[in-house]
Amino acid sequence: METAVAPAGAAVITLAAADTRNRIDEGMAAELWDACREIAADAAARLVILTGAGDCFSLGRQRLAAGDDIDRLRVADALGGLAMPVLVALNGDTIGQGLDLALAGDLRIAVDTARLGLTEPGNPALPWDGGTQRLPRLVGPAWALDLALTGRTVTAAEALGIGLVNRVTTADNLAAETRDLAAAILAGGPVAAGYAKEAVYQGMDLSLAQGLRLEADLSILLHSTADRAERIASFKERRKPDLAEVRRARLGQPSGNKERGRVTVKVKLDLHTHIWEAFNFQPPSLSIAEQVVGQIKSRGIDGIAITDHHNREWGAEFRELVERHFPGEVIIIPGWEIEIRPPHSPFDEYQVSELFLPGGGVFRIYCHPGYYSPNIIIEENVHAIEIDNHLHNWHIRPAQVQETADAYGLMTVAVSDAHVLENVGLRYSEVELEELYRRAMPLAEWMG
Amino acid sequence: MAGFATLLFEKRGAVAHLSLNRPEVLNAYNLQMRDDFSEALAAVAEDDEVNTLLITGEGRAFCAGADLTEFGTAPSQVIARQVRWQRDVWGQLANLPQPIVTAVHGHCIGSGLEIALLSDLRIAADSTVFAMPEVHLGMIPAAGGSQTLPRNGGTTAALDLLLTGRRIDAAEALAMRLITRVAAESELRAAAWELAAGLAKVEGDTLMQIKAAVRGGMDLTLAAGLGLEERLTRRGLRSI
Repeated sequence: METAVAPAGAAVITLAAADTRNRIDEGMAAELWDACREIAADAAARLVILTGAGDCFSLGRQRLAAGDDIDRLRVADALGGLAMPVLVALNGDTIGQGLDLALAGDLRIAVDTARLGLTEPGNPALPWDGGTQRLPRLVGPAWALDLALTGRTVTAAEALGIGLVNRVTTADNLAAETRDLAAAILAGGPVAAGYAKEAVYQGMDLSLAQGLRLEADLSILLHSTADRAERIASFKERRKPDLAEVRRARLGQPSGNKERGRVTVKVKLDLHTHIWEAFNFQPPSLSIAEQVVGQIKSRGIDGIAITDHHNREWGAEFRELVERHFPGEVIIIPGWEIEIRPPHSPFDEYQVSELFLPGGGVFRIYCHPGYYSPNIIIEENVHAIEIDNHLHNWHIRPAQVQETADAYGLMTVAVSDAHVLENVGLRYSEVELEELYRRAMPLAEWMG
Repeated sequence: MAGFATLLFEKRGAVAHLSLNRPEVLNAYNLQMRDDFSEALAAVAEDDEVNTLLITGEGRAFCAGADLTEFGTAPSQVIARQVRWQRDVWGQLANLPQPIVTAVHGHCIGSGLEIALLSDLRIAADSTVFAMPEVHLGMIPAAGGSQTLPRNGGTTAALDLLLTGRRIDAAEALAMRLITRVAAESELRAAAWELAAGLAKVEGDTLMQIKAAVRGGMDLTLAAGLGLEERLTRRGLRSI
């Protein structure tokens, strides 16, 4: 199994056993369960795309044999249990358990050459991964029994006609059409999409009257979301909704329209820059913001932390300015750089950058080790250490830094320590935002 | 002819005709319309002379959805929920004993489509545009759409419309089974009247029994549904 990059917010799962025509075995089933669990736990994942490598979506498993452990082979529920929308891109034949799996998604796009069937062609057997329940609910009992009892396959065009797939396209256009469909769904409210799915599936197991009650309750629960408030306000004011703010509030993460892989967000950040002095200690302005955003983009990185000496306000104000005028374009983490003089070892003075993570948490980086003292004293609440600093490499000893990082479990980061605009982004680290948040100390503790 | 601020209402023979009448805002559904609608439906439900309800819209569109200028005015979720069930207009529509024919044209969006889906026979002008755009406002339907769409078009077609909020035309709506008849826009009203008047000719409770059997049975197991059909049949025989 593989994962790939897709529209921001989309997690892509690819069945990657093309040589066996994506036959499902215990190993693949276990990986699918793991992938779905990870995606379910990932606040950044809002939609799932499942597809197959090669020219076949999946032939499922060979028919069950005596001794098979179906608890280890059944996998459709992994997909069916996801609360977010699931698109299935059927890149070719979808047979047996492969169809069981596809049925557990919400919307299906098939290539025009695909054939779909519930069992091995001409070899009917009892479907065992949800097909006997999901298929008739989708296409009605007549078609479900026709497929199950005769073992026949249907073409993509026939599948479209009976409602088994939502769209048919060519192999060349499958990826683009899937992306477009994903983008259309991702443009809507994330909580609302999940609730719509819940209302439909749960409601279909209820009487109409009970279903209407469920819908009303879910709909009224949505009154509480910031997403809905901002979308309705922007609609009334005839402007585009500012969802970067909403997303940040929801995720507790720096905003920024970053490419997301399956489950983790990796971004390129320069975590030590001086921007205030680069602009002659001027207050933040739109023109400064424009220059800095331009510099960040020209370096091909995602964002920076602003760590000017002893000045927290400048970074915070600057970030707000960027969020207002360039929403979602780059990540700005406000922070500052301060001196620490350990009471028990005053000669081992050092500096740390404190980054104030949007939504909460303070992340502390030990700056340019070896500058004030050849010793490195690590106290509580240091989460990272600079191993590569463009201005300070003349005294940084990487072996010592790495040893310290290993001993204390610190992240090692490369930074520009810019001072002038042109240096911003000269060095950067690829980090997972989630990791910054995980390691950071709670704001309350920092204040307390 | 009762005087409603937002509806036209008339009775012609056994057909009651109710027409959404806020054409200046494409019949956007607002609180006043809810109250008017509720009152009219209560009157129809109790009227023994009426055996078919026809619903249409005045002006360029059937209904462009809920009136967003009244959105977000509920003081709290508790109050919103209380108000929702105080005047359950969607329940009244879903439970109306007589068959409902709805003719849609122009825009049939959000609540407009939901009103249509709560009725029994739907006929659309060939130029009608349909959509369930709630998700783009961070919402889900609140007039039954998440329940009536999958019951008519299936779960996957329902999710297609609900998750993307995309617009579809009458041909696609027909293919998705959201409507069963299409007419040219200029002939829509006449076709709808013909359909309603045809139903109205059927004497006695037959139409209401058919509706009760099909709608009631959809909430039951097959065995219980067959029992319902049998009871309705016996009751019909007794009344002859």
